[in-house]
Amino acid sequence: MGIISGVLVLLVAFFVGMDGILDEWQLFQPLVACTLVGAATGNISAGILLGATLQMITIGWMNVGAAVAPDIGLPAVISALLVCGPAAISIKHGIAFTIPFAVVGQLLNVFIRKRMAMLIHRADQAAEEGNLAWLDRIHLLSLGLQGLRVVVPTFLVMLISPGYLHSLTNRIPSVITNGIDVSIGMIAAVGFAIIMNMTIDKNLWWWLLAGFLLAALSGLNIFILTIVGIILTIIYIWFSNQHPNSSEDSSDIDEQDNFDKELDDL
Amino acid sequence: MGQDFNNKQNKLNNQPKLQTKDFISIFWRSGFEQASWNYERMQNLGFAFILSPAIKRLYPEKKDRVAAMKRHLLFFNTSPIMQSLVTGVVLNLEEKKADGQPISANEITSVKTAMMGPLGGIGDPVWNGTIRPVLSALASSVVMSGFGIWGPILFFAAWNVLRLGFRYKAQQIGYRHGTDIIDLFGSGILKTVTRASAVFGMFMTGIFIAKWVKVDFDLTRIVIFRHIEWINSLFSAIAALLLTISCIWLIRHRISPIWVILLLFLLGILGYAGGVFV
Repeated sequence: MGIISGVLVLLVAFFVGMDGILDEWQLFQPLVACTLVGAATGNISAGILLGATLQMITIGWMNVGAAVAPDIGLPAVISALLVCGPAAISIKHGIAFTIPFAVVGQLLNVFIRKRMAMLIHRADQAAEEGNLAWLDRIHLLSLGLQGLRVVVPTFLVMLISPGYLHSLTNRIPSVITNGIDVSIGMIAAVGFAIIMNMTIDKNLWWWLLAGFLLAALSGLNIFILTIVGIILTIIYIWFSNQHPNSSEDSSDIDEQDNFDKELDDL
Repeated sequence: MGQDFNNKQNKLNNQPKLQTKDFISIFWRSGFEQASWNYERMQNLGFAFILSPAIKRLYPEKKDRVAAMKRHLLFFNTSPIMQSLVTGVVLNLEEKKADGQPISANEITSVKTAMMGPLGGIGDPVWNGTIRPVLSALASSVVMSGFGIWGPILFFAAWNVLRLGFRYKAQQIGYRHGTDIIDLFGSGILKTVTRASAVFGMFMTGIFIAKWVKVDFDLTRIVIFRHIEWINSLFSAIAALLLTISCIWLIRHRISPIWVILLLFLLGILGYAGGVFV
């Protein structure tokens, strides 16, 4: 890999790391991160395809309240580097690499969030002196640290010889490679389970089942099904506003519970 | 946001008022709230960072400035995008306080505390639980349908237009209406939005499970599946649904998602080796 594309990958890694904690621009979502790494290494189409595949796996991974989810940005950057870069491993293998790095990224994130208390005490001192510029600088310094959280591991992976990595993945027995391929289809279930675990209640199961059956039996494509979903939601909301008293009580209680749970997390 | 009026007011009396550039700067800073997320006081420094231009403008006296910085370094945590509404309300209060109205520091802190719980309870399911999964799943479908780069572009553009538009509006409305916004929590609007997003989100999740979760059983081993095509696809879809339900069951029993994923890798490899999957 040339020096320029190496620097570009590290730059992408830096922005991905920062956005991973901010959770704003969504640069850290595999769909975007892998595409950017693909562009930096000059192999954009592989990056996009890897990104779309990884996106389905990580779709429900989110930080709720104070809980830190497995990291998305670090594994997206590193597997895109391995797939699109000179190591040129297959997408299947790239995905297998994401799991350990998701754990590494999560541990690093928790570590920084704990250590941040030190900087927070510095910020208290800045407040004591009424020094706003210092306060701003401490905040941006911690943003930079979160960026380095992805840059440093990416750089370390770059130091490993691509030829070695390529031959390493070739040595993996085909039973494991094909088994991983089978698993990829199943792992998408985990992301959906996380989303459902957060939102679902008794009435919502019917909506889930309706979407499921419609998709399984009709064979319509996903874009048409989305439009159907929007129309049904509008009709439902319109209908329940016309009859405000029907079955709203139970959802009230559920919502209250959710708020309580949220408060407990805090 | 009534800046022209404010500018004129400034010239009349010497009371500092927030300027257009302060609102713009605070809007831009809102996207950096979580940079210093910490286990001690969570988004506290983030919130102080967002308010920094307002504190600078409103409190030229060091004593007031120190007090303002200290009260915004107290514990704070909410869903990041919904925080713009809190920011707007706090800007309204801080401006009144700087103007000499009897608003205590405690009042400002308790308004923040009162808003952050309910907004967190709405923001996470709506933004992270519905909008992002649906957008990213549609964008992945765009990629898989052969449109390549349009997938990531559409996802990035759609999300950020929604996010920035919402943040801008929320900050503006919060500033204009101040603490009256809290009445909104009691009204039906937020409940309707939450409900609509949950209904739509679960409907779409049902679709995604049918389309994307694949349990590749080797069905050719069973005679009946070899002959009737539609039983085959129905069986696969039901297997996908059952798999998802098992995953929820495991997560509900406090097994970390990453362990569930490792378990599925193991299941895939063993199943393939044993000839159950293909």
